[in-house]
Amino acid sequence: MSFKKKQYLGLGLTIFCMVILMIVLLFMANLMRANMIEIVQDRYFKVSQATEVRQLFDQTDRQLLRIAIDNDLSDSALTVNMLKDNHNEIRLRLVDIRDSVNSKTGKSLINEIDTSYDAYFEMENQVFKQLEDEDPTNLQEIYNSGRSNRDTLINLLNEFRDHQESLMEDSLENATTTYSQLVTVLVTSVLLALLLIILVTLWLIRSTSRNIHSITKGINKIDFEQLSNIPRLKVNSKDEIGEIALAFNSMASSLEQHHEREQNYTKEIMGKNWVQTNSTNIIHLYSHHVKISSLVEDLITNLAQAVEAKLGVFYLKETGERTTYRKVASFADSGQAAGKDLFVEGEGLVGQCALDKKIIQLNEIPDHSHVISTGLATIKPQSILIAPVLLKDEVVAVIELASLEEFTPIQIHLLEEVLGTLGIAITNIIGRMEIANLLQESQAKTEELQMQSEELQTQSEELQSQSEEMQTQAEELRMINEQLEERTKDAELKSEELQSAKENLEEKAKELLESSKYKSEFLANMSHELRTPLNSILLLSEMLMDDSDQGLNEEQVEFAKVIHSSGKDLLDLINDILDLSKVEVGKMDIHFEEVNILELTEHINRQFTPFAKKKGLEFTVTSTENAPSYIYSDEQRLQQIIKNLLSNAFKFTEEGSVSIEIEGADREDLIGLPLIDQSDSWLKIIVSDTGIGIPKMKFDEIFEAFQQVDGATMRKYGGTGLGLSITKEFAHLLGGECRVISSEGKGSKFTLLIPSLPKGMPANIETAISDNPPSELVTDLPEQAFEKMPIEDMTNQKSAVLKGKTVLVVDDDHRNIFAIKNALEKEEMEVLTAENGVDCLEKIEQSNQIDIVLMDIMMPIMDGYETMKRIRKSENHQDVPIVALTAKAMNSDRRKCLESGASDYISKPLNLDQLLSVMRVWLS
Amino acid sequence: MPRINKEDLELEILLLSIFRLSGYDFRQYMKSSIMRRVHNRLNQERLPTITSLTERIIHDPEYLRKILSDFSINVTEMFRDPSFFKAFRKEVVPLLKGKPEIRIWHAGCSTGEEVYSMAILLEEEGLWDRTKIYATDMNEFVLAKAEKGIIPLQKMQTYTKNYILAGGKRSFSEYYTADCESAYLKRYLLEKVVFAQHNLVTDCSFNEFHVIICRNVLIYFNVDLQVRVLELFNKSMSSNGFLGLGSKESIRSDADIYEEFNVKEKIFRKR
Repeated sequence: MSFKKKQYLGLGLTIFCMVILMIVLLFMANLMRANMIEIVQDRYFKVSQATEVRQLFDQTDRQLLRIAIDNDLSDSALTVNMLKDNHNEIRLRLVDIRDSVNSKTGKSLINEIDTSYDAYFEMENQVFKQLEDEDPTNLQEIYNSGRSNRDTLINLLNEFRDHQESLMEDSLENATTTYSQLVTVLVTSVLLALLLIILVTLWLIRSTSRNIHSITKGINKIDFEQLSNIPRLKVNSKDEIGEIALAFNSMASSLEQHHEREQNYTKEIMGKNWVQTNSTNIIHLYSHHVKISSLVEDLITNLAQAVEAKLGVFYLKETGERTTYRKVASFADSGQAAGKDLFVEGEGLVGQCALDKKIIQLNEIPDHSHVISTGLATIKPQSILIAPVLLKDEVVAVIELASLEEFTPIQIHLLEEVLGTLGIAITNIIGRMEIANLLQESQAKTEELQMQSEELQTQSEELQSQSEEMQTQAEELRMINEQLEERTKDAELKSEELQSAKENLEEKAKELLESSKYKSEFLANMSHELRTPLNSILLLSEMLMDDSDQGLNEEQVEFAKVIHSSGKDLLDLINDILDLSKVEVGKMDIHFEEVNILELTEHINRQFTPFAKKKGLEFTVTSTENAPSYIYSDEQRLQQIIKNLLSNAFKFTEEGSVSIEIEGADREDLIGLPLIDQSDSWLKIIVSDTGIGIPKMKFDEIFEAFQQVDGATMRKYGGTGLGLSITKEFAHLLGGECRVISSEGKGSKFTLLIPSLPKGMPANIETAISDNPPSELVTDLPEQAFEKMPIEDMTNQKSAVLKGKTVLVVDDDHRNIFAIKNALEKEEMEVLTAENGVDCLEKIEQSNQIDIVLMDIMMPIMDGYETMKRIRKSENHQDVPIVALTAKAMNSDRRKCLESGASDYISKPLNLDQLLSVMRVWLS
Repeated sequence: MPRINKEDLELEILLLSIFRLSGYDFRQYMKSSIMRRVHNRLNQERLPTITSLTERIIHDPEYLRKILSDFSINVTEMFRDPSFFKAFRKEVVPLLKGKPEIRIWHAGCSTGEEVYSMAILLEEEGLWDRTKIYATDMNEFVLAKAEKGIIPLQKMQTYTKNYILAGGKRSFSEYYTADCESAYLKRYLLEKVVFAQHNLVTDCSFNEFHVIICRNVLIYFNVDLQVRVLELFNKSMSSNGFLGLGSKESIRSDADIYEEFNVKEKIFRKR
């Protein structure tokens, strides 16, 4: 019997018992209820009605008795009414009782009661009648007549009530008996039902728990750690427990399957985890590297370790003419052993791998390929793996790994995983490196730009410094001039010594020379005044010398001769100095005109032939064919030069010859001359002598004023020492040059080169000539030997920045204006003043040239800020420097000044030195 | 045969010669700059090749002097890049105020204008009494100039403007007197300055400084030398010391030895 059926049976029995019990209970309860209803409704009602009737009757009787006895009719009407009501009530109740009485005794009793009550009522009516007639006399009699009837009625009523009460007691007894019977039945049936239920339940529990226990035992036997082998249950019953056992067995087998699957999954997940962890570790490396080399080094090491490879090489793609893969990093590389350094795409398996973009795995390695080396041996790898690193289907690198065991799929999976991201990483890093390079490059470019700008600035500064250098050179030249001047002075002193006989006159000449600033002008202007007395000296000494009166003795005549010749010498000297100073001062007028060379030679010949004869020297004048027949130059100066040269030659030649050759100049002769390109026709005059000559080291000096070879020469040959200086100067003035070649004791040879300048001296050359540095054998005479002293320059320049500049002083305080005006006028500035801003603006408008404005800030009418703003707004004065005069220590004022357009500011009270400094800065 | 740029070779020989002759080492300077300077000199002297210049500098000390002065580029201004000085005044000076003594090194001070500027700035900030500036340059001629404190008059207008832009607190004219040619810096601004010859390429650290100013010097150096000089500065600096560079310069060192203090004005701080 199945567990279900048993349970149905058990429960059904129980329910059945319960139902029976319930029915019994219901039946008994009903029985009891019927008893109760009978007792309560029937018996009790009749008893109470009878009692009621008795009471009403008693009441009526008492009234009647009272009326009959008392004869008091005062309230008879009221009493009658009440008695009538009682009568009606009694009647009604008696009817009710009659209706409800069903026993025989009762019915007869009630009939009797009715009859006696009717008789009573008769008596009553008589009473009422008497009362209505208001005759109380018969009342006692009437009432007494009805007494027997009344007693009968009362007895009847009592009897009826007792009868009814005895009936009620019977019923009650009945009910009690029924109840005790009922209790007995109930107890018995409940006990029976309980027994039955307990029995069924016990049977049920026992039969199910036995089977369940065996199942529990079977389940407890299961080892949950080891789900691969679960013990089966051996329950053969066909009930639910049996089904459970069957279900359990099938569950066990499916659990076993599931466990097996789970194990497989775990293995797989562990593999994946391993791949994930390793690849994450490797991918993590990417961010640590900014250089490709360090990345791949790190990568190949980590990757090889992760896949347990014993050797790893990383080839990076290099694009060039051919795509090649270069070994950039390796793991456990044993020198040359670990593979080639470079593969061309398609070359070998590495190249092939790059071409195919697929992983190549080699498991059958030839026996002789021992590439893995330890300290003791080289070992053959079991498996080699070559894998491409791809980015967007593009190979960027190739990795080769060798292992002592075959690579497992998981290892290969890891490799694939890593390679998938590696391409991006490598490209990123390459990109980053490129960006870094570009950044560096751009930075370098910026720096280079800055550098170049600085260099440019330096160059401009260099230019400036060169100009400064030139200034210093000019300064040096001035110094040289000074030195030369010194020398001139020396020479003057020498000439003073030489001409000690004419001290008075020489004193004048000396003074003339010493007054450095005005000397030249003085000489030029005073020529006449100098010559006039000299002329008179010469004239008078000549007159004395002639001694036409014969009044002098011989000695005196001789004195006169000395005076004359000395005077003449002096005149020559003065003339020379005049010439020289004229040249130096630039007052020498040069007239370029046509010069006939033939005439010139003839003139020279005429002039010097007698002189040569007198001195006993041979004198020749030769003119070559290539000599120009005429040139454009200053004839007078040219003659003077030639004369000077010849005079010199004759002077220093005691014996032998003096010759002059006139020819056209060759191009070679002219090298180094400033006018070489200005003239086509050059005259070359060579004056040679066989005189004492000049030592080579003195070549330069002889052209300087008052220089002869030495003092002894001067004493021996006389002369002023100015001749060659003048020659040189004149040669220059004519655009040419004078050179000397000489050997001591054998003679000298002066070469004069003069250009033909039909249009006069080219303007731009004039200055060039004087600045031209001396060429080999020619020395310039200092051009500005008598220029003013540089020291005086300085004192004059002191105020040069401020001198003549116009300053507008704007201040409302007259004392300030006065003080500033005084100070600035001492600096030779033009000072304008204004008392306030309005005044200032007017002054600025009126005056067209104001160089600088000194602006007080606190002023009435219009203050300094407003004034400056207006000045800056006007078109003409945006750039004029304005120096604001501010109160001390007021920073905000200064800022306001600058905003209003001030160029600079100084604090009051003014410091004159500071004021002048600022003005120099802004006027420079 | 390896391809050699012959001009580069010539330049190398020239620079080696200069180094051996004078002790000045320009081999780590930016080649482009040095090359331009050399070509300049070649043009001026009308020389055909660098080798001919090398020949001359070996035999003629005057040429050596010339080329050395060519290589020394001395561009400077008072308050050059006024914003730098403004930033220095605003951001660095407050951090210096607590120190009992402030040592500043102006490396490559040239003719000293920036040294004067720093002196004025510190005077205005009330730090001048406690400050000592070491102004160095490899060129002794510019140092001699710098020591004089004389500034050409025509530059003073620009300097005045720079002074104002750099946040000057007084009037600029308080710091100089001028005659018609030059302005003369007040002597007290030079009293605390030590001018000394120092070559960043060959010489080493000589003190520990709170501030090092080296503006527009590194641009002439190649990267290796720049890194070396920056390390030299780092060693010569007290902890948290400041380094001021030129407006176009930057720290191109891998080592994190400086942190940025004011990126725009190129003020760095020792880490």
